[in-house]
Amino acid sequence: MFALLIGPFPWLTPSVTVTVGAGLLVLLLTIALTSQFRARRRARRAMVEAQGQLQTITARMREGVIAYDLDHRLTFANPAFERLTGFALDDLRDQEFLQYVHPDDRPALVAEWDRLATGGDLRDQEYRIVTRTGVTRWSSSEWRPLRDDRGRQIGFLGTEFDITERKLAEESLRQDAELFQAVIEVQQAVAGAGLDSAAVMQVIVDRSQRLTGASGAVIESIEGANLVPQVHVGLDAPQLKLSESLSGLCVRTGELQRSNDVGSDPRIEHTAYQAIGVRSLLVVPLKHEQQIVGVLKVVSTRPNAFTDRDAQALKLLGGLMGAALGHAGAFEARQARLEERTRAMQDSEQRFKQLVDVAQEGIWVADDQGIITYVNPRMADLLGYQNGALLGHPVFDFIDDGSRTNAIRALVRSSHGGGDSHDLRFRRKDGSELWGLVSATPILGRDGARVGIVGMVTDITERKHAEERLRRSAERLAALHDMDQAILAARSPAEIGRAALGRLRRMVPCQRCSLVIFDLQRQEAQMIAGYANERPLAATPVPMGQLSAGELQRRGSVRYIEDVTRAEEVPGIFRPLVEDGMRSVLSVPLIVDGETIGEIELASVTPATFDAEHREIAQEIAAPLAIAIQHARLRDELGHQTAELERRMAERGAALRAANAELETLLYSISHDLRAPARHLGGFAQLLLDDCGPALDPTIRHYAERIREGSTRMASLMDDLALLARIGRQDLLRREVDLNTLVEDVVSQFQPQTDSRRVEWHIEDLPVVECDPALARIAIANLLSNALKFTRTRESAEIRIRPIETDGQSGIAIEDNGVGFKMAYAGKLFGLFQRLHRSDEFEGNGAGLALVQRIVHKHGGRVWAESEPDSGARFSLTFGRPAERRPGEPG
Amino acid sequence: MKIELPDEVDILLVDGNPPEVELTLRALTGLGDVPRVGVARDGEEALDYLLGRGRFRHRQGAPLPRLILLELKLPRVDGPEVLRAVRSSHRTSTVPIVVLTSSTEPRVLAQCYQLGANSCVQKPIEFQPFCDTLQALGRYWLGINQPPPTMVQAV
Repeated sequence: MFALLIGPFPWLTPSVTVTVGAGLLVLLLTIALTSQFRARRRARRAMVEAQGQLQTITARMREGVIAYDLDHRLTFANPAFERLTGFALDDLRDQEFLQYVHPDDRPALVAEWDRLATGGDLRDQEYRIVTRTGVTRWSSSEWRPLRDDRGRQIGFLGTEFDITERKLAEESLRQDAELFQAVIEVQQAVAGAGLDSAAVMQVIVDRSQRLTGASGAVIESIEGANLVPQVHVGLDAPQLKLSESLSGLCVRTGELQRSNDVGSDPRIEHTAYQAIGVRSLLVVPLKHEQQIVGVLKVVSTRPNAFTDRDAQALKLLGGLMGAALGHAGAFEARQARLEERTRAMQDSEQRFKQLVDVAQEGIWVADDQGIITYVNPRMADLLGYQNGALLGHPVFDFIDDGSRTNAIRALVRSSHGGGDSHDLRFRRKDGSELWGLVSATPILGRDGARVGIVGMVTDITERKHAEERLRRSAERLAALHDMDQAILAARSPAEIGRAALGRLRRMVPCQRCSLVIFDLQRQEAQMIAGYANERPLAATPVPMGQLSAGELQRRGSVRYIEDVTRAEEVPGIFRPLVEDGMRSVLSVPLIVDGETIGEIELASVTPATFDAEHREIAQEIAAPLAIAIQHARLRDELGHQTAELERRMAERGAALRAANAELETLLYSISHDLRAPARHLGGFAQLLLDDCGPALDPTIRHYAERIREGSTRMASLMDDLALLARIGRQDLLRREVDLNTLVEDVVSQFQPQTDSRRVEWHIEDLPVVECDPALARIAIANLLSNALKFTRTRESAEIRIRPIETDGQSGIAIEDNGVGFKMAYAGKLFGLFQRLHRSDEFEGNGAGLALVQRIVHKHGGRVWAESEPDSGARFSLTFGRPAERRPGEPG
Repeated sequence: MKIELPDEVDILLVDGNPPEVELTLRALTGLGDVPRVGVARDGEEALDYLLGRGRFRHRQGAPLPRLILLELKLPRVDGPEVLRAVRSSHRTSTVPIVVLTSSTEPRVLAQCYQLGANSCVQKPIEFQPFCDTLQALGRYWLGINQPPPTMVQAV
């Protein structure tokens, strides 16, 4: 189960009726998830505090809250949801997807699901829910995608708001409107049809059936002992006996009669009804001049089909009919008929008026010009006027400007027969607002043209206000969320400030707002973000001199000046606002760790603009804003330090590269450009010896020989240096190299040197390694050359070459029985020009092992030496990669 | 030592370093049949000589050397420039050129061959191997190698 999180915000406690939409919940969840994954210390602390409260809020919420994952598995449902559906959470988990939705409404909802799965949302979706006990309830739901902190959709979140009562109320309203229209139609029919009673009867049975949802409707007249159907719709109408029917009972008593289950009703001879499947019925008498002349009856194939409301409607229609029917039966003077008809109409109007006068809804009638011709007392009461004061005024006069477009649209639509409801805002007499749920029905003339309109208004002001409070709460939450986002995103103080002020301006009315940051060390203040009306203000310094000593002390508290023009003392920092024509000023400090780092200033051109809620909002914004700005400043500082460090690193890097390049150049120069002068020394010394040798003084001859020898040593040094330089510069060309072959080859090259000596070679089976063969040859040749050199004093030299493996790398070890060295000097062994022996003992230039090391390191391998004086030495080396295979194995 | 540049030579040595020239000439005297060697002390002089320009205008049409030993580092016009100019003149485009270099950098060698050098040789530092190398060059290019036919005509 996921946790819903919410901050410690007093205005969200459930003491007010909290109606939280899915959008807001998703926002809460996003905050929660974001906090969980990325929170800084402050956010974590807030989270811990909030956890408890949040649980409470979802638990106490009136809406059902439900969440699915992307695989349509239920992941969460709150207690309200369980109450709404009657299913326990475990039942719901076992159910199919959306099983609790009425089967008829499910396809439409499922059809929208693809859109939801790709990030869309569903709002004001109204459908029926079938509870565990089979009761149908209406729900208004809202579905939103649920995302993790990286914005990826992880599921769906729905809120289900039980609107069953509203639906019933709407239905009732709709029926009232229909009834009213029926009355009007009947009146029109009576007025138009005159003596044509059949036409009037037809209208009445049609309307009766529609209004009551009956399977059939009939008007029967008394003829002798029978009741004979005159006009009927729907089911067949059998002829009935007065003595054996409920209709007869109705005639006898003059009262409405009802049967909820015909089959078990002892008052009824039900054979006739059985034949046509009637299960329940309603019947009212039709009277003419106190005489009952017939009945109006509706029947249904369902038991218990008719409600009290149906009964009321039928009575009203029956009353209208009686008059018309009476006329049809009599031949009276036209004048008499007219009088009678007028009275009948007054009579029916009276009945209707009684009905609407006591209605809980406001009801009004307007003509085709929209001029009010009738309002019921409730309507006048809703708008705060005397009953008669509204008559003759256009309906639109009482509708708020903001709702007028909607109202016109609604009226146009209603003329096409639509019975939709709309939320419209009215303006009461005292100027306050009235939110009404309005349904309008056209009044149609005989030619079908609209001659007027009847409207029903339900007061939903409270609900609208609750919604508005909720919207503001969501705004406040969103603003706080923005602050958190700003803290997490690396943004500058000014950017954070602009974001915060932008939010604040939407919630608190002000013409000017600004964010001032103090720099106490430099005794300066800086306005870093601000708006004057819609225009952003450029950052400007605020001289600290404008802050008096008392001012400094007072910093840290909220200051509110209702009207600066009447204030005894206006702080200097507010003076620019005053000069700008502001009247009321609100300033809220930004405090971090007990230190005031700045303040938010809000100003308005009207006095006493800011109320307690505005101050609360500003303070709510100020707290995280202060932290965000502090973070941003620290981040800036860190950024500067990092940049400085990087700059210095870059400088050093550049210096190092330059030094390396110089060294390379030097090495190159030594190994190439000095070749010619070295040759000249040796060359001319040789020429001196060759050309003048015999004639030379022995001393001169000795000197010339020294010069020549020096040149020879220099030549070898420079060749090695050139090689060393080349190894550093050139790329490795790795290949599989069989060291058996390579070692064999090198050993054979030493053959001329070893002809005159006794040398025993012991070469074991060596590995195949991946290395640069040319370089590996140089390294191995150097080591073998050393082994031969330092065993020269032995009567019989023994040189053993064996495979080694260390750290998963293959290589070889070369062991000799030569003079060896002290391990104390092992560290100097591989240094360039380092020698452990005098050159009169063993020749050498001290570059050989340095070369070996450079080659091995270039391969990523290791080289090391072990020895004891006079007991031989062992040199080991690897080439940085494991052996491919052992020789002899198939490869 | 007096360095000369006669109108007809077997080898044209192009090198601006007097001791190097002296040792080179000395090394070549070790050949049994001592070749006629002319020395150009910079690239410009070498090109004037080979192409019959400037103070060698009179040499237009005169026989070409059978081998040019070219040092890469030269005053005025350097070795690669000399190579390019010699190879782009129809008359001299086929003269065998051996580049004497102190460098074995792959980049340098590649450049020399691309510009049309017939061979690149690193001169040993020690005198005796130096002599051996130069004598081997002389024996090969003057004795063993068959010169291009156009040059034979010119000679």
